[in-house]
Order: sequence, then C-alpha cells, then structure tokens
Amino acid sequence: MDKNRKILVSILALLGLSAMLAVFEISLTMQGSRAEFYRLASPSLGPGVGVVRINGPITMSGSTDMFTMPGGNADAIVRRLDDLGNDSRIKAVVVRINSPGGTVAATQEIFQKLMGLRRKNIKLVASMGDVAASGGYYIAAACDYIVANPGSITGSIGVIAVSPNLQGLFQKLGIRMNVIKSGAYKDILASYRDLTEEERNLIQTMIDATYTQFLRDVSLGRNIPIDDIRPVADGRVMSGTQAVDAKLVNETGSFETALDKARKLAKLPDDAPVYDDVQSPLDQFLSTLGGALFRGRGIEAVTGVEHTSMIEYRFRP
Amino acid sequence: MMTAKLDYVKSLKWADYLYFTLLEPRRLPVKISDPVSKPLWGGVAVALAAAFFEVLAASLLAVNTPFFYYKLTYGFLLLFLILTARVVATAGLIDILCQFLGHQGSARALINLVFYSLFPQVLLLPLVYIVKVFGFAPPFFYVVFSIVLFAWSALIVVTGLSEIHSIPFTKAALIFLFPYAFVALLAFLASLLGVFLAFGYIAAM
Repeated sequence: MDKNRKILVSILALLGLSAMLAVFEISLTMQGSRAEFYRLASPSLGPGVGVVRINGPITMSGSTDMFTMPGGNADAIVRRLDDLGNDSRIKAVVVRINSPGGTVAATQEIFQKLMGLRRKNIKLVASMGDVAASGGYYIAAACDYIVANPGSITGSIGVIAVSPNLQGLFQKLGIRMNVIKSGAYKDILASYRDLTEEERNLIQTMIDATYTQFLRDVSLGRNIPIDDIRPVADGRVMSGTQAVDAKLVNETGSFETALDKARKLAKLPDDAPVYDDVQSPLDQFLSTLGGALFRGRGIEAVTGVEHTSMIEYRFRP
Repeated sequence: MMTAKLDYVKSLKWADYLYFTLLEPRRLPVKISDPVSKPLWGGVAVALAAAFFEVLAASLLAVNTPFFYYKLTYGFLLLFLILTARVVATAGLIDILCQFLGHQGSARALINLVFYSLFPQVLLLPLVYIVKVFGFAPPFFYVVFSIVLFAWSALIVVTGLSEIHSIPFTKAALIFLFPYAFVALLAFLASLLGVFLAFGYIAAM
C-alpha cells in the first residue's frame, strides 16, 4: 500500500508542476510577452507594410445598422491608422481605396491622420480599386505615392450639395408643411419648397470654401501648385490612365504594385510581411446580409439621395 | 493535536482516498464510510482542485480579454461553488431515488462519493497542455477530454453506488442517470414554456 501511496503522491507532484507551468504560461499571455517571443522566433512578423481598407461612402461613424461593417467609417479607419502608427513594425502603409468619397469632415479627418503618419516618416501608398473619386481621391492625395488600375474611376475633385425638391409631389398629394423657425435660413435645403436665391448664394459660398480646402489639401499632399490642379478640378471623372497624364496619379498598377512600391519606399526587403485588416468570414457574411437587408429604403430609394450630410466630397454618377 | 495531523499527512494515508478513486472505486465507499476519519474535507479539497485545474485548462486556450482576468480569480471560486452545488444536488437526487426504491444508505457517504469522483477531472490540465504544446487541435481535444473524464467520474459514482447498495451495475447506472434526466426534463419544459411565451408575445404585437 505504501508503494501505491508514493506513486499517487508522485502523480500529484506532477499535477502540481503542470499547474505551475500553466500559471507561468498564462501570466506570460496576460503580459503580452508571449507575442514578443513568437515575434522574435518568426521572421514573418518583422518590419512590414500595413494595409488600411476604405470601402464605400465615407462617413464619420459609418452605418448605424447592426449588420453593416464599418468599411467607410472614419472613426474606425482613424483607429486602424493609429494602431499602425503605434506599431513599431509598420514602416509603410498601403491605403486601399474603393470609395466614391463621402462627408467633408470624415474625409478630412482621414486625410489629416494620414498626413500625421507621413510626418512620422511612415511611407504611404494609395491603391485605387474600382472607384477612388472625390473624397476617395482626397484621401489618396495624402499619400506619398498613388497607384491606380488603368480602369479605376478617379478625379471628381469638387464639392456637392444635393437636396431633393419634392414640392411638386407634395402639392400633388395635398401635403402642406407647418414650419415655425427661429431664423430665415433654418429650413435651408428643405425638400418641401424651392431654394431661394439668397439661400443658394449662402450654400454656394460654403461650397466654394470647402472646394478651396480640397484644392489646398491636394496641392499639399501631392506637392503640386494649385494652379496645376485647377484645370482638372472641375468635378470631371477620369480613368486611372488619364489620371496619370493629369499628374493626379503616379502610375498605373494593381494592389500588388502598390505593396511593392511601399516596400521600396520604406527600404524593406521584397518579402517583407503585409499586415492586412481583412474581415473575418463572419464579418463578411454580416456585411453582405446587411447590404441586402438595408439597401435603398424610404426616400433614399426614391430620390437616390442619402441624407448623411448636406455637403460632400462625393462622386455621384 | 497538531502533531497528530502532521503524522497523518506524513503517513500518506490520505492518499488512499485518491488511489481508490482512480484505480479501485469499489473500495472507495468502504473507505468513505469510515467514521473515524473525516473524508468530507478531502472531498471538498478534491472539488477545489478540480475547479482550479479546469479554470487553468480553459485559460490556457483562452483569448486575452478583460474577462480572462476574472476567470482566473473570481471564476475559480464561482466554478468551485457551481461544482459543489452540482455535487450536492446530484447526490441528493440520487439519495432520494434510492430511498424511494427502498435502499438504505447515508446521504453523507453519497455526497463524499460524488465529491471524490471529481478527482479524474484534474487530469484535464496536463492532457490539454500536451495537445496545446503540440498544437494538435487543442479546443477539440479539450472537449473530448472533458467528456472522457466526465465518463470516468460517472463510472466511479456508479461503481460506488452499486457497492453501497449492493445492486447491479446497470441499475446503479440508471439511478445515476436520474438527476440528469430530471434536469433535462426540467430544461425541456422550461424551453417549451419559453417558446410558448415567445409565440404569445409575437402574436400580441
């Protein structure tokens, strides 16, 4: 019996040892030290290129429905850029843009964040997808280098304010609005009446100021005089190839071209790793589901106008 | 008094409970029924160890989240309380059924038996650790080992039950399954009630 007892005590000692090892391992995980060990052991986690993806219309807080993922959510994009900027491994960032632009403030926040990364000597390369127009181009202009596919739609430098005028429809339906307002312009751009001349001038002044800001930022980001940009900054869209001729884009190429360029600019080896922020399959599924469920409802479906903001850097085909 | 306790620890007699639990469960009821020793505290210690090792095994595979920290501290105590409640409830229901069937026995001995039957579950940690080190589907094997060790615990209880009441193994197995069948029935009825309530709520909207 004594022998059995000793064997059992030995087993208990081994169990105690495994518990101590587990506690040690868990402590390392808690402190994040484990990741450091793996980082040293694995060459695939060395200095590399970060990727930020901007998809769809750019807004400050993105879609509010529970399914849609924040592809054009400025807050989420700025947070991602922050993470990349604070990661010592990231020497360059490729900004993958597939967006027709969006609200003015959201676009400018992303632009400013990218300029901040540039000041930190992180090399930035923009890669254009199907569309990188208006606000999409605004963001691209913050990068050191812009790569577009020959068929990418870009340009559309300008500002737009769209408001549906449903006065005729309201009259037809016999709907009249009761409006009590504190000032003459409080219901400016209201859909139930025509715009007055004074109101139009007021909005135009605002649009002009925002447009000038757009030109200034593109000029700053691309290091081109404003006068050289102005001839093509009349809202026209252009293909990637045309954009190269207009000096809005540096070269035509794919996402891979942009990654290679980023490695080159940051003086990284050709096989430097890429840190992408791809969605999980679940996120992709929810995003698709959200798109199918919430696309085109209410007045937006009738007029084609989304009421995210009055004035936008946005390409509206 | 203190010297007697130290002598008891040094004699390794306490290890007999664990030895019988693992390898000779038929002798465990006799050992537990010994009125001189106080095996209940040993049983509680086994439950504590089982909770501690299970929390460690789960934490090894866990993602580092704020909940992670709670799991190691408060989670350990919570799991211990849950295990204790489960042991008392299981033993209580088994004892009620045994008495209903005309068998004599001590509820205290039954509680002890169920407490000690948790001991194989401490092996979950080393087993999970091994598969984690080799990176061989640790979450899958965590589930597999948990099921196997639970079956081992069930085997200990059933063997002990058939010894305590001198009944066939199959009858003891059916008695052991009673609390789980009872809880399953309650859960089924509760879910049925939930479905009816949900339908009623939707219909009233």
